[in-house]
Amino acid sequence: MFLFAEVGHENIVAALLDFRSNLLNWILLIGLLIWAIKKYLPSFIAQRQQSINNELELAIKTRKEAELALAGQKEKIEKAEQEAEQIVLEAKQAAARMSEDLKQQTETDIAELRKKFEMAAHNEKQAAILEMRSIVAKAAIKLTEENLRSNLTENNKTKIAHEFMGELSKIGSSSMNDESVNSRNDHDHQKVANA
Amino acid sequence: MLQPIGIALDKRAAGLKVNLDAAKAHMQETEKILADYQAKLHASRHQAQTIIHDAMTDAQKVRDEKLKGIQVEGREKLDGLQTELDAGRKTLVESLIHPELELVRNILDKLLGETPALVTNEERVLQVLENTR
Repeated sequence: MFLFAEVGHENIVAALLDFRSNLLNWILLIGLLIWAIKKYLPSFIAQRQQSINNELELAIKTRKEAELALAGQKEKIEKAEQEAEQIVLEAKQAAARMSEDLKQQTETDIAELRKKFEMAAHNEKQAAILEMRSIVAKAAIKLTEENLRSNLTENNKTKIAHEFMGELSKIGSSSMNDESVNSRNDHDHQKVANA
Repeated sequence: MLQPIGIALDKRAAGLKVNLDAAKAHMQETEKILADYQAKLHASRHQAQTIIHDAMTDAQKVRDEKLKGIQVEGREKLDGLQTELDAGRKTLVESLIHPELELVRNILDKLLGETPALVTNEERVLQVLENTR
């Protein structure tokens, strides 16, 4: 009231309209703020708390999982010694097996190689025998030819000619017989075919 | 009213830090263990390959030596046989002179019907036998 007494009519209106000088307005604003805070902040805080708790639980869970994984890896590394020994053992067994296979293959190949050499030696001997037989035969013909030239007389020539002709006729008759047998067979076949 | 919020935030930060540090430590340890494990397995596999390779190399070496020995032995035998045959050939040819003359005599006897006097001597037979191929 004293304030209003000090100012004029226009100043009273301006003072009433001035927010800063109105205590009631301040009270209303603060009340409104308290009301709003009381209404919305607890639920917001509760949500945040829940979120924080969830994150904490997740972190604890992750930590436990990490611990489990670590324990698993430690167990695995303990087994790795056995696994490594197993790998080396299997490699040794495989190496022994492969060596034995190769050894057996070598024995087989050696036996085959020996057989081949024996066969080659046998063939060499056979070839030498055949060659010698051929040489003996050719030499006999050549030497006979040489001796025949010097021992051939008219009588011998006639005798050889007769014998030669006799051989030819024998060969001719035998070949004719063969032909007649063949033609008879053909005839029989024809008959059979016609029937 | 704001004090519980601060407490919760501090608690949260501390909890997160502890768990995060622990998880990081476990992760590092796990990675180290895993690396050791892989290195150990790799070493074992390498050792296994070396064992197999060495064994096969040794076996192959023995095989090669044996086969080479057999081939040399066989080749020597064949060469020896060839030398033996060449040496025997001369003796054989010499031993065939009289049978060859007898054979020629028989052929002429059959052809001519009489036993002729041969114009061929032993030296000629030997010459023909040696030169005929």
